Formats: sequence, structure tokens, C-alpha cells
Amino acid sequence: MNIAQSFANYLETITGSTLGQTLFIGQAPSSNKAPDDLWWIITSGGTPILDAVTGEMVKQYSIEVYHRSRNYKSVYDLQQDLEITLNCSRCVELQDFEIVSIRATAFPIDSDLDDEDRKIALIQVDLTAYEDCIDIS
Amino acid sequence: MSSVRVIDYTPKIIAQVRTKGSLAIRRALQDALRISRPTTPKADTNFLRNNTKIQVLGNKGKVAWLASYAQYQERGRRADGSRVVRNYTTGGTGKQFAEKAMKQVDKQRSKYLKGLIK
Repeated sequence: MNIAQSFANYLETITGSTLGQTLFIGQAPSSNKAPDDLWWIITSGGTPILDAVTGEMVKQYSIEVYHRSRNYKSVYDLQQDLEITLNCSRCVELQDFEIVSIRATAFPIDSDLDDEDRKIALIQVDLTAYEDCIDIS
Repeated sequence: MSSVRVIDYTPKIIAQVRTKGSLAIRRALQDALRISRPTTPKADTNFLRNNTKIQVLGNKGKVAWLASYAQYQERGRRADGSRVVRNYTTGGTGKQFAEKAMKQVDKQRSKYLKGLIK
């Protein structure tokens, strides 16, 4: 399982969102096809920072978690709750990844350019994780 | 036997640079709007000048002119090259009002970081 899928699965469990319906990987779908209350994540990285002689690696990832809704208070509360949870490395469990360190930064909430009444929150997550060797053959 | 205590402030600094960087982007975009305003074509309503929006999320920022004809005015012609604007009724206004403002902002980018990172 890759980091985006693994993180999305984790996010599903703590936000109550559903992958493919209210939670998306890579981008938010077109506004008229999706509900206002939506999560999406964009992942980058996978930079190896440490490799073991046995082949396993410690890699660094950057994950951007976006959440939008019409209710500013709910967007703010969820963003703050998520930031607290993500800054607790023993609270986060990702399938196929063992977390070495995790840091989350919450940014100011802003209006959606497509719809002034809709607010968007962003949390940037820096993740360092240990990965087993996976044989895809 | 002596011991050494090492405190790693890297995460704190990274978080500070990110949040302050976000603020600097907002400052820059607000300045871009201010710079562009006198050169933005206007009719009696000022609709193009007044309908703008800034969005800053993390280290990415966007400034948008929301009038449906904004891109036509920015280009000074249609996308296919036709209907070139030949005369701007308000002196000093013209095409590329957004591009010129952004270029000016880019030249003085250190100004927006001033006082933010200590």
C-alpha cells in the first residue's frame, strides 16, 4: 500500500469521511459533482533519508490535507482537532508504515475561490516513516 | 564524566518559516492588487477593479479577478487574437495589468518578509 492510500485510510477512521465520496486523493472533484463538505489529500516525497543493510528504508513524505465546508466554525474545529491528533506520533497508525516522526502545521483558513461562502483549511504534514521491502513481482 | 544536552529546534523553525511565509504571500498578493488597481481598465462601475479575491493556503497563493471579461482585458484581445482593444478611455489603464503588478511584486519579494522572520 502506498503512503497516499494508507494515510487516506487513516483519515477515514478519524474524520468519518469516505474515500471516493467525501475524501479524495490528489484533487477535489468538480464542485457540481461533489458535496460542499469535503476532504482531499495531496502527497509528495518518498525521499529516502536512511537505509538499512537489509534493504528497508526510512523515508520522508509531505502530505497536504485540505478540508472544505460552508461552516467556518466546523472547518476550524476539525482543523485544530486534526492538528493535535497528527502531532501525536503514537496516536497515528498507518498500514504498512511505521512512523518515526510526524509533524503537522495548521494554516489560516481561507475562502474558496469558487464559492465565497465556502471555507478551506489546510494542514501540512511532514512524515518520516520506516518502510519494509515490498516485492511487487 | 560530562554530558551534553542537545535540543533540536528544527521542527519549530520549519513551522515558523511556513506560517510566516504564508503571511508574506498574503502581503505580496495584497500589494499586487494595490499596484494593479490604477492600471486596471475601468468603466463607470469599477466592476473589474472591485471584484477581486485573494486565497492563501499554506505556501500557495492565488489572486483572481472575478469579472467574466477579466482575461479579455488582461490580454487586451480575445484568446484567438481577434477583437484587439485599441483605445482605453481612462488614461493610464491598459492590458497586462495583472502581469505587470505581479512582476513588480516579484522584484521586491524580500520586502514582504521583513519583520516576519526573526
